[in-house]
Parts: sequence; structure tokens; C-alpha cells
Amino acid sequence: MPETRTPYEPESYAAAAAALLGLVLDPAWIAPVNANLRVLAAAAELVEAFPLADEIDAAPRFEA
Amino acid sequence: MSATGSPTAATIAAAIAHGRTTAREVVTAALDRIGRLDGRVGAFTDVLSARALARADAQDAARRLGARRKVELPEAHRARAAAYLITAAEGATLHLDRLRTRPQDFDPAVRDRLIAGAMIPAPHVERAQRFRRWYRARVLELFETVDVILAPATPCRAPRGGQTHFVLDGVTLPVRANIGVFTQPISFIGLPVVAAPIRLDAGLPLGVQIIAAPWREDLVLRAARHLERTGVSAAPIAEFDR
Repeated sequence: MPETRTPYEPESYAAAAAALLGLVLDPAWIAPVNANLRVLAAAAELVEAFPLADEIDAAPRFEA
Repeated sequence: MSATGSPTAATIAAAIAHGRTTAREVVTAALDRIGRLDGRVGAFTDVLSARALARADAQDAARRLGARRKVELPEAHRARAAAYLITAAEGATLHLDRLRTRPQDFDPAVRDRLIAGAMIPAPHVERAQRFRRWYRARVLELFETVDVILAPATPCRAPRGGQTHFVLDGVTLPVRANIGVFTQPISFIGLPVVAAPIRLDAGLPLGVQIIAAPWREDLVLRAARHLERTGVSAAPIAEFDR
């Protein structure tokens, strides 16, 4: 196991994910898409930092 | 407020609680003092004061409704983050075919956000959904002891048409991604809400959210009607130069 986390590079991630998803990225979109990916990564980090018990399952819809 | 010295926070809180003053009067007086003490600070108070007054007005509206308790939504900042992840992924999934075939038809800011949303790793979305389960249970517990929760709907007055950025707490932020900072933690778990416009002056109003437990639309509509009848909430035609 490496001791330090590899830095996240949205640009290379977006290029690989676009190929997987069948999206064609105009070069002009790359910078704003990267900025969005960084915001989403920060949000994911904040959510993941909160400990949850294993038995708490997903809540994709609500019933009264 | 006393001319000889500043009252303590406890004195101010008691005065508001007993109706001798309002949160809006206290905040306005404090902002006036800051403006008098230092003209340079005044350059910042326009934007900071909007947020402070939004909170003060929500507090005054709460008092007019006979509100007696202050409750805190647990982990609201994390709820916003989780809501952001889920809506980005859901929006991207809904529009993925169109992003492939006719991306030029999207508003550029929406398109870029949707493309990024399509690339969120599944564990990030699943974790956000599991957090939503936890958060919903905690908020529903609050409704065991209160009927209605009041909160600001927006951090400032309505922005102008076409305005892309505003300043909150000294930080310049995009309007679209941040206008909903107070509504996201509520809509995230599907609670019924009425956003009641609270008139400050002849300018644009501020919104106050009236929030209740699931299926208690009757309570939020009743509270909103009370605010309307007592003149706390009103939506006259606004002057746009304010």
C-alpha cells in the first residue's frame, strides 16, 4: 500500500470517463468540466468524512 | 440600544424574546454603528448585512408566529454536499443521451455540470444516498417536538436577472450554485415547504421557509396564511433600484 495518496487529476480522469460514457468533449469545455469535477470531489470528501453504520442503507425514495 | 455602552447579548436576546425590540432593529443598529466607526468597513457591510438581515427577518417572522424554540438541522452542510452529488448524478443520467447527441442545445454552465455529474464514481453517489437516510431520520426526530420550522429561503435578496455571482460572507460565489444553500438541506429529504416573501422596504423581499414534516402541508399553509393575514408576509410590486 502506498503511504501517500496519488493526487487527483480531473483532466485525465475526465478524458478516460468521457470515452467510457461515449461523450465527446470540446476542448473549450475541459476547464469548466474540471472545475465541476473538483467541486464534486470536495462534496464527496465531505460526505465520506461522516461515519455511517453499515446497516444504514441508501434512501433513493421516500414513503410517508 | 443604550447610548452609554453596548448591551450584552443576553440583554438583547431577552429584549427580542419579550417583543421590546426586533432582531431586525438590533442588526440594523449594529450595522449602523459599524458604518459610523469605520467607513472602510462600510464597503463590505452591504453584502454582509444582506445575510445578517435575512437571518434577522426569519427570526422576527418566527416570533410573530409565536415560535419559542431554536432547533438545529444536524450536519446541514453535509446534507448540501450530498444533495449536490445526488442531483448532479441524477441530472446527468436523465440527460446523458442528449449530452451525446446534441450538447450544443444546453446552456453551457448546465452542460458542463451535467458532464461532470455523469462522471461521479458510483460509491460517491451511494454514500450520499446512505447519508440521506441518516439525515432524514435525524430531521424527522426534530418534528417529534416541533410542528413547523422557519428558516431563511435565500442568503440575500433576489439577485438581478442575468447576475452570475454574488458575495456571501466576503467570498464571491456563483449565484446558481449557492442561491439554494438554505433550501437544499430541506428539499433533499422532500419536506413540504412554503416560501413566504417577507417585505423589508419598497425593494425586493426576502424569503422565509415554513417547513413541516412529510404530509403536513396543512401546517405550512396555515402558518403562511397567518403571516399573510398579520402583514408579516407580503409581495407588493417591488422597486428594482433597491
